[in-house]
Amino acid sequence: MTDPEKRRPSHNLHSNWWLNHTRYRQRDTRPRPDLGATWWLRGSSYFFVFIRELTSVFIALYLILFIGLIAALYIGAEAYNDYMELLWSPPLTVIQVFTLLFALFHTVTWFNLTPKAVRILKGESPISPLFLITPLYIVWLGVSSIVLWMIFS
Amino acid sequence: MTVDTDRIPLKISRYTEGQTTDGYDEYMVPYNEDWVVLDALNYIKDYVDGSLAYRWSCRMGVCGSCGMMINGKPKLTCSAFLSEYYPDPIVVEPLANFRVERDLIVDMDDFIHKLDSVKPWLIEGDSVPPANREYKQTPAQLAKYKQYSMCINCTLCYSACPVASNEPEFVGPAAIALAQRYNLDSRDSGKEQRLDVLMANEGVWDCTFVGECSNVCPKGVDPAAAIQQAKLESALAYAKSLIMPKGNK
Ligand code: SF4
Ligand code: FES
Repeated sequence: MTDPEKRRPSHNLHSNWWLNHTRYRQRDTRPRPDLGATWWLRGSSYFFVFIRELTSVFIALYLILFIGLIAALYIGAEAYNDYMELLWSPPLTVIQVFTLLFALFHTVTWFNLTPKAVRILKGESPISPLFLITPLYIVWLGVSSIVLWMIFS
Repeated sequence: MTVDTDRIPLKISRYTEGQTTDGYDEYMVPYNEDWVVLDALNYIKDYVDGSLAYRWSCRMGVCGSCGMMINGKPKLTCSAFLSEYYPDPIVVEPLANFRVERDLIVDMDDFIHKLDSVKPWLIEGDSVPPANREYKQTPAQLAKYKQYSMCINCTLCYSACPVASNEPEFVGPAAIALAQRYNLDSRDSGKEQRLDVLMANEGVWDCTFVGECSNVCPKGVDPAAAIQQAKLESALAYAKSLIMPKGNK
């Protein structure tokens, strides 16, 4: 039998493959059909991922509003009251409601995906995903309850 | 194109070197419930147009060479039955996100380089077994990586991935799944060497977790999960290198 060591590649293969690849691409005229800019319309699973990513835009918008709120708080009581009035205006209320819905959607999708990133085996089979997902929901509900209690008490 | 009751239309992408426009040829193929798309291609090659170029070998979902886009979705043509599409026309194109070599054949060099870069073989460390003795592995140790070892390098996952589509340098699903296959092997000590490639910009962090790679994988490998696990490991290795800059080896 051959020594396994001899059968194994001994050199560090193409550690600079990306450089070669870029040069290669530049002079390559062969077609490379790709999924195109409308890849997210290729089916429902692509579409939901796109929506999940799009939620970040609303969360970024909300963060801008939130930074404004902190700035108003820093300036003084009058600025804060004016800003709160602005936040309750119909267009900003709509944005905030959408942000909340998107944040919930984003949170739920990511919680449900957690077992993909963490694979714990019990013996030879993976533990039930519920063991990983349930604690996340419990912590989420716990923290949200504390925040609601602080706001309304 | 009209549809006969016992025939099914195939619209096939054609390309020869130097061609600048998209080209398709249409063929009517006898409809047979037992036939897969690969049978239809073989029929065309044998009886209608011998110039059609495509790859195949095992005809049983094992060799991974017959992957093509069927009606826009990456599939193994030896596992896609005509009955799934009949009587509608079937559009057959080369796998997306690869350079086309000829007709339905794509250039796999790019994938092979990416695969090489993650060193998909056992790298020995200190725990080498005594000469002429086998490595021992328990069923639980095998279970850790077995799923990823089922990959047949068909690259359907690359064709389903919008990140691979937009960023050709992305190491990609199968290569990362195979890196994990060896990282999780109790006989291997090459994890740190592979992390260099996985932690680079073109490595795991390019992935936005679309997850379609796992949906199209014909072998249930779940490369999307492998990538997320590798992200977690990369992040931990990075944190460790910050805390212990020197003692990380
Ligand atoms: S991970 Fe699945 S889809 Fe990707 S190359 Fe391997 S077998 Fe094919
Ligand atoms: S011919 Fe081998 S996988 Fe299809």
